[in-house]
Amino acid sequence: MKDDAMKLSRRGFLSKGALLGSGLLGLALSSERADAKSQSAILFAKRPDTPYELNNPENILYSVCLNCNTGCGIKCKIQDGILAKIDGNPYNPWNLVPHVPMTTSLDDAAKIDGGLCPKGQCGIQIAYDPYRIRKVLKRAGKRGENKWISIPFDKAVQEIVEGGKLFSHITGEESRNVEGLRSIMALKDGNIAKEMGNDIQGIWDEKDKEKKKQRIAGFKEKHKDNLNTLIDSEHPDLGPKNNQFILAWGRLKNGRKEFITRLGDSFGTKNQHGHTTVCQGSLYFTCKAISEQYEAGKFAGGQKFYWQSDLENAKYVLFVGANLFEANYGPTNRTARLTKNLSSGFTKIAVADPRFSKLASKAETWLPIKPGEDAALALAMIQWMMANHRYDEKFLRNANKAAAKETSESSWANATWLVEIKDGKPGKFVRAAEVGLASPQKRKIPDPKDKDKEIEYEEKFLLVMVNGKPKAFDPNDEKNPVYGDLLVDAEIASSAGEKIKVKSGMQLLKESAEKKSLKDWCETAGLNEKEVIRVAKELTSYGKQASVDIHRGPAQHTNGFYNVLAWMSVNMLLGNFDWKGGMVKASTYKYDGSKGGLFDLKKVKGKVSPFGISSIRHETDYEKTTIFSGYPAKRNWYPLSSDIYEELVPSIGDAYPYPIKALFLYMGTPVYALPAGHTNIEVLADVNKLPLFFCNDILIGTSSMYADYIFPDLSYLERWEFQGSHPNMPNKVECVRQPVIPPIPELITVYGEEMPISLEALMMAISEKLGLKAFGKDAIGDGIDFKRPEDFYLRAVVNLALGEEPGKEVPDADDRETEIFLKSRTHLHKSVFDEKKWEEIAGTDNWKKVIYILNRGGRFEPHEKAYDGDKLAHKYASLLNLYQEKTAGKKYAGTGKSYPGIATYLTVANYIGESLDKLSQGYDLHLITNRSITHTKSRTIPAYWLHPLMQENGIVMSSHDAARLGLKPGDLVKVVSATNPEGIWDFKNGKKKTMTGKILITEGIRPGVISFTLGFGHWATGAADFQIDGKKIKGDSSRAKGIHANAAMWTDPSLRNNTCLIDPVGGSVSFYDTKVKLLKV
Amino acid sequence: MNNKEETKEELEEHSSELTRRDFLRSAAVVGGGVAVAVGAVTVAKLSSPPKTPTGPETIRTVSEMKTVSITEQSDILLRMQDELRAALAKPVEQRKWRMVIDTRKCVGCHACTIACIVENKLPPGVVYRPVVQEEFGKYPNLQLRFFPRPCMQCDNPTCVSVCPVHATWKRPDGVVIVNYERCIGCRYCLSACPYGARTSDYGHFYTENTPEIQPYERLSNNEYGKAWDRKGHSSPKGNARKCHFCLHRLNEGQLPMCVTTCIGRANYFGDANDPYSIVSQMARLPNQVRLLEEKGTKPAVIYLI
Amino acid sequence: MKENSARNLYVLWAVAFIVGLIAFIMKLVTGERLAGYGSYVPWGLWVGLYFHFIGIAGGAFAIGAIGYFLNFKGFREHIRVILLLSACSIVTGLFSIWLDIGQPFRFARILYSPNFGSMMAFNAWMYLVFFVIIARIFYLTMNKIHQNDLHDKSGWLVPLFAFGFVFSIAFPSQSGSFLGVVDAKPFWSSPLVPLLFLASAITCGAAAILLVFTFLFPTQTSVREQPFSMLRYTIIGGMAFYFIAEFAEFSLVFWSPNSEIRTAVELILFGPFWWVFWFVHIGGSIAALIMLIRGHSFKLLGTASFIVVVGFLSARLNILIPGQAVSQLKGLQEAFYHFRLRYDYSPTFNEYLIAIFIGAFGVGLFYSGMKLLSKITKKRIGTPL
Ligand SMILES: Nc1nc2c(c(=O)[nH]1)N[C@H]1C(S)=C(S)[C@@H](COP(=O)(O)OP(=O)(O)OC[C@H]3O[C@@H](n4cnc5c(=O)[nH]c(N)nc54)[C@H](O)[C@@H]3O)O[C@H]1N2
Ligand SMILES: Nc1nc2c(c(=O)[nH]1)N[C@H]1C(S)=C(S)[C@@H](COP(=O)(O)OP(=O)(O)OC[C@H]3O[C@@H](n4cnc5c(=O)[nH]c(N)nc54)[C@H](O)[C@@H]3O)O[C@H]1N2
Ligand code: SF4
Ligand code: SF4
Ligand code: SF4
Ligand code: SF4
Ligand code: SF4
Ligand SMILES: [Mo]
Repeated sequence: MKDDAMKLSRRGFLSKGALLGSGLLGLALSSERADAKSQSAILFAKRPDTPYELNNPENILYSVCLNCNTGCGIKCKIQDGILAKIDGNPYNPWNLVPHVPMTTSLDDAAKIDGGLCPKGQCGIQIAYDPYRIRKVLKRAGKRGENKWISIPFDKAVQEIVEGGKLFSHITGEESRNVEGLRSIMALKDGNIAKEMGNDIQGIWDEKDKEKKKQRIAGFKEKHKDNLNTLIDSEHPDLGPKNNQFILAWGRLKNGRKEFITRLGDSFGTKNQHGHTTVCQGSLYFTCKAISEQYEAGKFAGGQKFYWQSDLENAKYVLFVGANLFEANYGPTNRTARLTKNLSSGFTKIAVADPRFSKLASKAETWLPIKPGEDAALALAMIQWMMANHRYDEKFLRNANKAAAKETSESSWANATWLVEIKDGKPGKFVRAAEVGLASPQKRKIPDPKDKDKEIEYEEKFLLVMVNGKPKAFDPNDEKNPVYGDLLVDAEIASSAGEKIKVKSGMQLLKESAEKKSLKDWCETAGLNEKEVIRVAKELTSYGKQASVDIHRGPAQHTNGFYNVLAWMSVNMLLGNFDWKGGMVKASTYKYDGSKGGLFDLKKVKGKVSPFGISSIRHETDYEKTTIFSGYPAKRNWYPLSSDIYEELVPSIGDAYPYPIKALFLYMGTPVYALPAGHTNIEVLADVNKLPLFFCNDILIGTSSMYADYIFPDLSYLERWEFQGSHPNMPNKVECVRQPVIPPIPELITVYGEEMPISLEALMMAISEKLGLKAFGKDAIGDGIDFKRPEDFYLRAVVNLALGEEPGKEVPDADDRETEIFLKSRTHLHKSVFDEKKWEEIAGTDNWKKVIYILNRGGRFEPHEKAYDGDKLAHKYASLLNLYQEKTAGKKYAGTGKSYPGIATYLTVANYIGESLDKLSQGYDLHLITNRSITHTKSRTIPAYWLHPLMQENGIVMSSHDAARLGLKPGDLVKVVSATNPEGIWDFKNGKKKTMTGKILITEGIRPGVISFTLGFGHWATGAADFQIDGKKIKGDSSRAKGIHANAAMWTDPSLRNNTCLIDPVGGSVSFYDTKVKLLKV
Repeated sequence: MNNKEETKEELEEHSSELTRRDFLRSAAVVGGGVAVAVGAVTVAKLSSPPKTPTGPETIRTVSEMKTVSITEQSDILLRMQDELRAALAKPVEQRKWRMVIDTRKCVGCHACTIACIVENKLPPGVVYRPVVQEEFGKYPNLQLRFFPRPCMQCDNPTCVSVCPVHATWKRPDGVVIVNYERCIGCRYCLSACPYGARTSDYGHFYTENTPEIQPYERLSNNEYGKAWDRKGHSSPKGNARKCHFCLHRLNEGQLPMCVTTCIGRANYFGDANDPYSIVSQMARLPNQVRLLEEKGTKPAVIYLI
Repeated sequence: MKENSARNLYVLWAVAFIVGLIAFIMKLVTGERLAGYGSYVPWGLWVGLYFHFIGIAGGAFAIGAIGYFLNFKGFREHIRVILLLSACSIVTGLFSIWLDIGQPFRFARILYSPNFGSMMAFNAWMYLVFFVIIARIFYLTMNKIHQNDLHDKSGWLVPLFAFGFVFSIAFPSQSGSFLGVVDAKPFWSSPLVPLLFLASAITCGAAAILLVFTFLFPTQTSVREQPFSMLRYTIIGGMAFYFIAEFAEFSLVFWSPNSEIRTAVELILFGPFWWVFWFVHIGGSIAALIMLIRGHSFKLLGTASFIVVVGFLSARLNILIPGQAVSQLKGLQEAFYHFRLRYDYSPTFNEYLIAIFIGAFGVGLFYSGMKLLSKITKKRIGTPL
């Protein structure tokens, strides 16, 4: 039967059209299969008994979900060659608590099903979506017109690489010449690139204006032969023309990420950007700032990550803007851990959210906070905690690593470190040597950029007050514990006799928290003071087993960075980092060989080291660049954050800092996802602003519909990836995604190897055509080719299997396991599973270990290994910046003012710091948005099983407002705002869609606030008609239902209204600050 | 009766007057008819339900898992699965399946609804376990409650007695099932169930409005341990369908799909005849209710609130 | 009847039959997909029709039997017309319920594998027995010396009539209990429901006979005489009784706190199909009543009885549908959306067309029955049929 299915699907590959047809899938339907003794005795009936096939390990493959980004383990059950059921993977800590150890046999595990959220179970419908594309689509009409022709893969790659009059068949574009990637890649020599990069760093680091000019002149002289490779030789720091090609993505995971960066790095473009800031950007970047380490005398090495609570052991959690049961990271893993403890009474929770979320329904207290006022609430709590001495003094007084060690902590905060106050403003930490309180010391540390090198520097030591006396110390000192005074507001005398005003971080926090009275803070946050105090009291009554767990709610505002900092400061006051029941940092096994393993997969051959200012101006100080031209800058700069999704397209539109020639977009749709995403359409649809635009998508999506070419992709059920972990998972893991069904896209050949069209194939084919060395022969090492995706993935699995050091490898798969491994893959096509090839790639010695890992869908340490006494086993174990020197040293490009270094209350503002009250006038409702368990953005609407659960979303409104506005449930309303007074999506293809939705009335939302659920109101993604090869294909209107009100969200008038409101520090987009009104239709 | 006198007699009789004989005969016919009817109904009401396999042949040996140790600390799913073995080692008439749903742990995620749909390959419009949401109270003092509604597997199932063809009955282990091969699709049982727990299969497909119906919708399901597909007009199209506590999985020593998928671990399942099973412990908690108890259906599904 | 209008009637019938037939074939091909009923309102228009025709069958027989026994003019000599009417109604009713079930080709199970504990199986058997009784009576009535005689030669006619009479009263009211036993639907559980069903059966049965009689012998008799006056008064009385009972039922509801029944009644009166109650049921009935009370022409009586026969279907539906339209579990419809999982119901186009087909089928059956049987019986009894 399976053979038949195989043959059928093989035939399908060759014959079918541009869309997925079911004929492709091949299916041997048999209604009455062999009699099965095993089932007898349920029912006497004529129809013969049939065995239950879904618990047979030979029909089961383990992989990882990606219907949201939680990445739960999945157990994929195959029936007749078709994916029939998806359940939770019992080996994976996301699905069972505790998960079964890896030593569990596959036969046993086959009978154990773990939990899984509803979307995860619907992956079947995402993979087998009739609207999936199989062939490369090329635009046959204007951008966005939704007319396509299918063309061969090779031809498409050829066109993109070589350029030319690619769209002469389209009126208006007859003579438009498109520059191909080959010509965009002007700079080809890696060494020159490195050299230029270093020289540009030199220009930036030069503070003196004159000297800067000289350096530029010097640069031009030195590189005169290559100036033509630069975007602008007057401004060499814009980098090479190579930067005019952007590789951007939405949901990209490890493994696949390397395919993009390999192409990007060997192409030499600085512009490789993700979507973090649309997600919970400021949560990441505040935590990055918190985690900057004092290295070589300055702060560096901050990690892009964040912490969440350990729900298995937490006794009290205050969830803030975290939608645990419906979204977050994520329902499957966090709910299972929480409900158990809630029902036993072990854990109590409070929820601060303008909506009465499902999570709130299990909370002791619901704080219906006013959107955007998180810092007010957090500072109120901080004030109360300080006033009542309810903070972990012992933890906070630890000034260095040694102190932490001695008090059996692993992390330590800089609460006691002294900050210099200049002109009333806190700036840098006092360097003891600079004020003569210590003598500088020459030291060497390993270069974080290059392990083989060392950096030499002068350690100047920092300062704390100990019993009122200043004391110099080394924060990283592991031997001599230093305990500082917490609240310091003093003056010290420098050796030069100068008086220096100093304060401790704790003192600064206290002052920030005391800017308003408790009552006023509560009023600002729209909350009842008594309730707030009650929660604060509870929060501080469980020692380290209490925490604040935050997510997008506080982060996605113009003041997001400081909201997050305020809440994280509460956690620092609780001293709960690295403790059971406290703040967790994720921990993963390394697949890329960066920490042991057999293969170094990080190294990119033929790298043309990218340099220059990125198109989104991240991690660069505006002031240092040659295009500095006063404040406000034309667009914002992001010295502390990256992956600024909302800047991607508008920057192209503004050609700031430089014009872009080609954009590649993978698995993302800024148009749909961003607040005011409609502003992106204008640029994407304009061939002059964006001459070449190509996408990788599994269907024609809301952004890819504007592409010149859409390359089909494998769905997450057909492909590889390393999903990693999430900050609430205490166990060390690496979840491995692998193909569980045959590929749906067309088969093609790259580097002489047959493979389905996919992101990997595309990246490799472009490289092949460009003659880059990142892929192909010997690309991984001498004699180690990289000619097909498995060349990378299987070696990564080998790394995982071998572990970080000898003795940490997984066991070999035994014969039964090997048999299961093969039998469970008989339905896969040779192009994605080839036993011989695979064994060869992995190496015979490692092959059985690879099988062992793949048979379990990843590597997971046993549950008990997550904890180490009353602490987490995998610790952050580093410095926490309560006060952030680095942040305080940066400036807003919008105003030229410096950023605060401590948790601070800020009101919502635009780019240049103006209040938005004017936009609010006449708009009486505060628009927010939220997820429901049933949908993920634009990715789950193809899942028809989810439709009955919520046919369409609507505008959720309080009964108070409904009564005030005379609205009844089911009334249709249009959402309009000051920046979208018509309340429409204009698709720039002659079509418009008004933002109308049904009124849903509830008691469960703060009066004055309205919300809508993400995931509805589509206009592409199979929802509307389109044309391929002259044939009209009907969309399914059930996918278009409901409302997507992102276009009502405010655009920023100080940014020419071509983007949404932004958090200038953390980069977050503002999702929850817009005021709207509703017009009855 | 052929001679003339008799004919004459009859002629008289055949006047328009009612005679004694008319009354006697009528009484006999009507009385006999009623007696037969009452008899038939009584016999039907008293007779045992259609035969379900019972006795030793229903004993299922599920082997213990050798490579997993199951302890008090194990996920409740594993512990309950482990308990199934003991129940299956008894003949069917000695087990009594019970489900306890803890609404305090249910987060209204609908994973169970979907798990059931996919496992049993239910078409649009057929659902065995929707999750009902209730909101009560006024801002800011309000509450949400979710209660999933599988079949209550009533001890006094009103759906069974109305079935004209004995296509549905209560098994010895308490599960009320439908024999698709017998069911004529009259939908009387749908009307009779106060919980709306039965839905009829109208032959829809989820992808019917797209360019092509996808093959996963045509795969056969394994309800009652048999293969039922969606070809032509064959059963279960046209039939009444309902939750069957995943008998086909129980038979394999596996918990019902809605139980294993539950991210809130809100479901307890097992043998109520085993006083020490987890489900029995939960079933004796004081904070329990049953749905629409006043209907006299005696639901076997218990809710903890 | 004038030639012309007779032709018009033929044409009308033919159109109804053919259009309905197409709809019927579509239904056979697609299964139940074109129908609008679902799982929360599992019984729709066709089930309403079924109850209606069964009611007509019972009512017509009961009236026929009474007329026969009390020897109202026209009844004894035309009893076979009434028998045929009753039998055709049964067949038509069964046809519409056959259409309605999900597995129509398993229908016979009810007969060979019945659960008499189910009102449905019990009824099915009753129809069967009743049908046999009618057939037997039909045969026996031909075996009388004079058509105006009470007895047949064998002497079994009267007992069979008596038996049939009991049936004819029993099963319309049982149709009521058919619903009444369903505790799940409080609106149906009222003891008045069987009574309402009986009253509407008698009314419609009488109206059906009246309708047929106005066709049969319009010129020979005066409408002021029997059998017309008896039929008229029966209909008037039946309707009066029905309205009183209905009023009782509804007003009871408004005083009682039982909100489920109340919701159902509110649905009837003010729901989306309010016009069915007010215009078809009340309005139609009042119009028919006026015509019947004034009724001096055949045309008027024919029209009135037609209105009653067709319009009283609304009475059935108004018990059937609202009874199902109230959920016992609040929020069930919102928990899982599908158009078959809703508590409101409106028949689809296909259902309406098939309903017309069923009507045409019934009329056709009766008409051809008349033609066929009169061929067989003409000689021996000298009346049509
Ligand atoms: N079902 C589902 N799950 C998902 C995803 C999905 O798309 N669908 N996506 C995944 C991804 S990418 C992410 S980033 C996460 C997101 O996970 P979460 O951030 O936990 O989810 P959201 O629904 O965005 O939650 C935002 C919450 O903040 C509240 N809120 C709004 N404004 C404010 C405010 O000013 N202050 C406070 N305190 N609260 C506010 C909203 O009411 C809402 O409850 O979910 C992941 N999981
Ligand atoms: N109103 C509102 N908007 C929001 C949010 C919100 O809470 N409310 N949340 C925001 C958050 S947290 C995030 S993370 C963003 C997400 O924003 P994005 O990352 O931009 O959005 P996705 O929906 O994940 O991207 C989907 C795109 O990838 C395509 N796609 C789907 N599967 C695949 C695949 O397997 N391969 C390829 N190549 N393409 C695929 C889809 O067709 C679609 O075009 O949305 C944001 N938008
Ligand atoms: S939470 Fe659900 S959708 Fe997200 S990864 Fe897990 S199973 Fe998939
Ligand atoms: S819940 Fe309904 S379907 Fe289930 S046994 Fe009870 S009455 Fe029957
Ligand atoms: S639908 Fe089937 S199971 Fe239900 S009463 Fe009718 S025949 Fe019985
Ligand atoms: S027990 Fe099985 S059939 Fe019943 S609701 Fe749960 S999954 Fe569905
Ligand atoms: S899966 Fe569990 S938590 Fe989710 S709705 Fe069902 S019972 Fe409730
Ligand atoms: Mo996100």
